[in-house]
Amino acid sequence: MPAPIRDSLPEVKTKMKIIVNWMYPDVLHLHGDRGNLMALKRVGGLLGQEVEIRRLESPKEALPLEDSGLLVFSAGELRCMEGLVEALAPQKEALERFVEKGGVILAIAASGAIFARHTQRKFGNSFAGLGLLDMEMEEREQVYGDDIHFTEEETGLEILGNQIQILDTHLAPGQAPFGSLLYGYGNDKTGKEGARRKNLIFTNTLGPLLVKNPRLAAELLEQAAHYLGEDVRFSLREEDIRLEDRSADLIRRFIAAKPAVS
Amino acid sequence: MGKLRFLLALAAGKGLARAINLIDPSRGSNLPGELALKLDPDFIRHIKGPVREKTIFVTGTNGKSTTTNLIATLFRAAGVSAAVNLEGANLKAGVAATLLKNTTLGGKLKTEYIIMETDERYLPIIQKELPCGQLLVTNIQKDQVQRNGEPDLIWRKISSVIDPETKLYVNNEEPYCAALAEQAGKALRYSVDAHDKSFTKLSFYTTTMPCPCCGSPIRFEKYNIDNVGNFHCTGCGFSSAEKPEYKLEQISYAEHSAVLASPKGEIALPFKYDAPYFLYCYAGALAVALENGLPVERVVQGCGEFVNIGGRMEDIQAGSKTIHYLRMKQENPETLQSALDYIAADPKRKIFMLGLDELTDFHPHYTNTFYAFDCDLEKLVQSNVERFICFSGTVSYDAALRLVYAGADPERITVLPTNDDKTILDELARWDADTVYLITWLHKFYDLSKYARTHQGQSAGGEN
Repeated sequence: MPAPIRDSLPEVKTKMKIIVNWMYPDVLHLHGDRGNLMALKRVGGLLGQEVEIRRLESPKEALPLEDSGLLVFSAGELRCMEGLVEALAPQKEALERFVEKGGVILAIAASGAIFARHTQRKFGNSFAGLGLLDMEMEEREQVYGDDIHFTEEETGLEILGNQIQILDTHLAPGQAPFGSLLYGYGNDKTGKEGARRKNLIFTNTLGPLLVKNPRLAAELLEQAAHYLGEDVRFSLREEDIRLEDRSADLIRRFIAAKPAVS
Repeated sequence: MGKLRFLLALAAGKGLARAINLIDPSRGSNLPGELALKLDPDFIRHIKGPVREKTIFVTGTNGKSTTTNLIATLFRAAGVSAAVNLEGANLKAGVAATLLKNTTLGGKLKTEYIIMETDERYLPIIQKELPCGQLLVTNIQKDQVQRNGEPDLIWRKISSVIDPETKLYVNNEEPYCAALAEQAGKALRYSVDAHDKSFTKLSFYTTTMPCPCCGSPIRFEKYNIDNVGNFHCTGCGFSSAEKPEYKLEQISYAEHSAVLASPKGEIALPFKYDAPYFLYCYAGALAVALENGLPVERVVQGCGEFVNIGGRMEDIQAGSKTIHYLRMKQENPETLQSALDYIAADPKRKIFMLGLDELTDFHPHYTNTFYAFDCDLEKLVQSNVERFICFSGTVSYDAALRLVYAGADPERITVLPTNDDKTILDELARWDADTVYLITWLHKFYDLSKYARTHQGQSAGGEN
């Protein structure tokens, strides 16, 4: 059994607090995504790292990028994305600088449209994104839901979750994916999952992603700490994440018995 | 040729319906319709006599069956005949089956009204065959995301059937429904006033929803049920109407009574079922009944007579323990939240069994449990639970994790990575508590129920 969220933190490894900006939680919240924020808080506790979750309610507010290393854009309804792009467009350069300096942005599912070059809709207005990721998105005729299993390209970390695909993603040549599929649909059945530019990560993965994959949560916190100037390495103790690991064992077995996605 | 084909389809469907009724009346609500549609794909269109103004559809995510049954009860109490798909067969075949049972051998409708629960995804298809003149929408919420993706997809489907001839009834306090009224231009809003069971949400992790009109955050003043309550948009000012046409007020759970404020004046009403979501079913059904001119005294009588079909709670006797099973719809956070809240409201020392499992409604089967993170489990976790038992061959550890995230002590959680009935009930037998609650899929409830019946005394409390 994993340890519960601790009231008192174990040995503090960094002096600073990592502030996680929870982007527009009442707008971007579709598939239990608040679990990702709970996971960052919990994993921070397990690591002995103070983590503060800060809600940003409106895209018209200036982005507080100076004191925060991590922004989480959860899955949201596709109809909301165009408005978010419009509202964030005046801050595009600041976001780009944040990404280039190693700041972490996690964009999940349809929120990828905010960072894509363009999104082609079938049932609404097509629109341009901020273009921080070199990819096009395309609304599907039918929703596709399934498990997803892949390895992260940069670290080889194995990641499990679910996917509710409303948009297919087509990466431009030269645009790095976030992962390589072991099972599932991923971006567009090309064997690739998500996209990555430095620490700007787009993924189709739900679950919630960071609840099911606490090592990825630790990795994101570590990158956020680096951005804030702390040279730390975070590593979770296996005994703290036994539930997650046992869950992964069961789901790996379940997936192994399924036919490949055709 | 077309007429002959229709009559043949009708006769075959009626024959099959009669045969099924003789063998097992509880089965076969779809089959006669499937047969009729196979023999005549235009079977529904060929039925003579439906009047659009008297064809009422009930659609939405949750509460369709209860609302339809309640409307049917009110019409019956008023002596008005109606063809109703009471068994919840709400796809095209179910509609066809209901119609064929209510037509003459010549294919003429025998009833004055048609009242149909219709699946929200199939509504546009059914509407093409059988245009409704009155449409009641219960709510549009997250549900079956593997095929629905997001509520907006359902909103668009429902919206597509509304035309100037449609009399639209919408839930005033559910934002997506209320946005349908905005789009339609005219609609009748039914409403429930804040009551003793209304609540606020103050947790840091509380989320609401984007405005259906402009995408800005919606704020709820109070919730009558999850994601339903008086609301306003922080961006465009869109809000629940201050003066809805039909509103249940002065709600007394102690006396099971309320007052309906309506264009016909204030009407005192009894209500039997006091789960808050029933109040919206009552309000919607009453609006339909009164708009169709049913006499007020008959409507009041009908409210008192209403008996809900297929309730959401059933019991299993397992050894000396009674397990209270609460039904939820798969991938539907609102029904899971209702079940969790019901359990949390019981202060007795209890065992809570949670059997979320992989989803098998559609292909490919998959292991989604993320809807549980849309629900608040903290109250349940703090409600005197002696033991949590999570079982499932695939997602038992994920269910346990959700409980841990809600503050459950891991030492109080048993995880059974199996669906084996004996293992589950043997684990239950190890623990002592007055009350046992179970949330799982319906088929698993039937399995456990059957096992407990045939092995009573060997498991679940037999040793205690």
